[in-house]
Amino acid sequence: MEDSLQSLIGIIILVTMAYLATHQKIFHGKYNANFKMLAGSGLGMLIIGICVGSSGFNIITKKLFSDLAPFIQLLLAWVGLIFGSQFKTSLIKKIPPLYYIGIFFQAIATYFIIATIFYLIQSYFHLSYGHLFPFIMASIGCVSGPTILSLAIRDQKTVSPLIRYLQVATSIDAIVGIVAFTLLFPSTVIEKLDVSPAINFGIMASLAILLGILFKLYVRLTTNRNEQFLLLIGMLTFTGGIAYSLHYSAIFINMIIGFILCNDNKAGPWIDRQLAVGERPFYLLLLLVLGSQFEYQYFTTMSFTMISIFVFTRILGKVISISFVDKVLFPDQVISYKSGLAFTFQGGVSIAMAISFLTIYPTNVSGNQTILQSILCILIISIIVNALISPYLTNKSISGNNKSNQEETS
Amino acid sequence: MKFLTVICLFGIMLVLQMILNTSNSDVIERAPLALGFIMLTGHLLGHIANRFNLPRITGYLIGGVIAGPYIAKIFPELFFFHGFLQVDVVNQLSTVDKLALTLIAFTAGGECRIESIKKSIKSILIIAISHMTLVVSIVAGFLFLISSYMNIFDGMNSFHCFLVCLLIGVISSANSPASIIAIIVETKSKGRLTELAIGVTVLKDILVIILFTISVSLIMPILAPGHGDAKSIMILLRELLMSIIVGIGIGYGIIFYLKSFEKQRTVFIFILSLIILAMSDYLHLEFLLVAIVAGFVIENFSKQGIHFIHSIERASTPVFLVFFAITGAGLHLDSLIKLWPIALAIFAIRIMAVILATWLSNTITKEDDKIKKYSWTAFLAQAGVSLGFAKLVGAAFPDETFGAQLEGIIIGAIVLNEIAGPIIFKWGLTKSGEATVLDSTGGGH
Repeated sequence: MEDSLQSLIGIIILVTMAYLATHQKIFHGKYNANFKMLAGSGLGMLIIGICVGSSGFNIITKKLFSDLAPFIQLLLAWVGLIFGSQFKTSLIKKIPPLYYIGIFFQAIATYFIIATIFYLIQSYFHLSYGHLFPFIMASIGCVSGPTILSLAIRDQKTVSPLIRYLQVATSIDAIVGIVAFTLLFPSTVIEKLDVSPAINFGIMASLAILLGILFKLYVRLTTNRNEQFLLLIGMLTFTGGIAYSLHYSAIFINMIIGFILCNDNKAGPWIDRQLAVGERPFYLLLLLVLGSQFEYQYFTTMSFTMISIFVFTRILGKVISISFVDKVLFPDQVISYKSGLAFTFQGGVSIAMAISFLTIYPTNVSGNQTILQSILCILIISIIVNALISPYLTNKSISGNNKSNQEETS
Repeated sequence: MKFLTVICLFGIMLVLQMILNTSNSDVIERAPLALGFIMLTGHLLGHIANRFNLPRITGYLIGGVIAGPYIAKIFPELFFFHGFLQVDVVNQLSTVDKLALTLIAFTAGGECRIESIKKSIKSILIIAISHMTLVVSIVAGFLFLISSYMNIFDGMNSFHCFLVCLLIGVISSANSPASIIAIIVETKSKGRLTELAIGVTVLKDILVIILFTISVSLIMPILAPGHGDAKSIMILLRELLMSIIVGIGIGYGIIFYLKSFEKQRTVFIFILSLIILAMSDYLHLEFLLVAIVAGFVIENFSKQGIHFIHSIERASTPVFLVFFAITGAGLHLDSLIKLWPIALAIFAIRIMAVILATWLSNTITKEDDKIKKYSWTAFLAQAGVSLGFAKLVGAAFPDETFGAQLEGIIIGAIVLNEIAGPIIFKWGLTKSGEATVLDSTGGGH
């Protein structure tokens, strides 16, 4: 079969999957609560991805993934835009500043705990995952997703106000991971211009701000609904294209653009409308793409050990940091130590970061496909494990907090 | 403000390109960047064109031309500017281009209603046949007459020279259904002229492919024995028949879907367009014909036509923009600059031939004065099919210099037709009173 035809078939499969995903029904009724949450988390799509990838029916081949890599950036750009557009200053102001300190502290603390543990393991056992391995794991590990917590809140109906704050926290704590991950970007294109990573980061941020202002102007000039859709696709393709060709982070650039747009009177409502339409299909498509890159031969005893350490360290990091935050920042409130368990689930941002890692790193950092695939295997399985245990742990977290709240009231 | 925004975007793109050129990054890596750029600039240039009462697609074309690789060939002193949409990038985007064309072909088929065709069948057939005969013979005859003054025919005998002129004549008779549909959708035109324009261009699109294949099969063995990629007529007819059958099947498939589901219709049609492209590639079908037939079936053999057209029109703005911007990028301005006197002569004689053929047909079918006066405006635009023919003819000659020159002349004329055609058609629709939306910035599609 010709390459072009195979690429076309791959695109058809991906778009069809996204299309079918829009018809997916959320489970209602007498199903087990944990099962309903798992179904809603899109975990199934990750497993379908593994089935259609090179470890399964090999429909989404390595070659196809590499051919589609420029356009996969569009998905990453979408994630960045969705994430950035959450930071509306009007909403941010409603939450007390102490909570933000707490949110970012737990993410930074988790980052350092994971990075330190993996750094020590790598140094002690002389593992060959590359010097960036602990930081990649830490960047992705400190990110949480709100999906399971939101589903749990919807299921339980009555939850304490603290849980609402936790929901916000799981939505926005990824900012730490995104910034940390962006600092790791090798940017071979720019490095020929001989600039340091800090300046490179600065250029990336400046470019994103410039584009954000430019797109704000664009939105103001566009009134027609069809044209607004065109504008969104154009924006994502353009920024995804910039990220891909300059080896920048599409997530980071679009996060800043999303932030600028959502805080504009005219662009804000527009971005909300546009992003809401495609949020779920794009998220599920990301899961599918990530799953398709899993290769079972890299699932070794060592990977299994690393996955166990990663999952355990991550939960430990979240629980310890939340307990610390409770003791230091909120001594008057009774926050259950179990609150950290609500951060177990890893959402779209961490998945996008894993894909970003795969599209940017192969030729630039390690040059060693085995190492790359091993790290990816650890990430994919960890995301699956976290998704599997998160409904149980999240429910524990909610009931723990409700209990603490009741005790405090009585 | 719009100008300023476009200039800012160009500035950003220039800086990015300078960085990418310095780093010698892979040109293919720039495909999404270039695609995003033409979407954003084309969008604003479409608005700007509209302000000057020009069709939006002219703005999209200009966007593509500016971003394309041929500006740099004309102005080599702009050392830093190599065109954002370089030839490799344009090739890389061919699937996007074909996808857009498939969606346009769906619309073309959907606009062909049996009642309208029944009413106009005589006029449509007469106009199409008169174009296929008169335009071909007038353009070929004129070129043959002036061939002794054209350097490229030096050393060629009269018979061979006549055959080459005949090939150019055949290519001149082709139109661009995409341009016609884009203008009709943009101006929301309705009426006799609109019906004739769609009917004739769709019919001519099929007839021209057959005529070109026959001409190439007969002429190329004489002009270049042992060369040329002439497809046999039987193979072509088989492919056309298969395309019609597949188109009918897909049409009924879409009808079934539209009846059963109300959600995500545009996405479904988008997926089907991709499937048509894959099938056409694999089974050697004419993907445009498949889509036209499918659109025709949906419109005429179900009640779903209105939903179908509505679903496609929701995506019409990005589709037209991408298609015409990529077409603009592929317009060989360098050929036009080099060979402009001949290209201009062909352009002028073609216009006269089209006016004459249309007027004659309208007189025979006793159309009213309004149609007589403005219907010729619909048949000037040329794009994808004609460019494809020009490339085939150019590549078929063993003498590469001659082949390239011939291709350059034909493409030069097509460039002029593609730029002027949509503008003149919009003018024609406006003057005939069939255009209902003159300023599409506010109305939308």
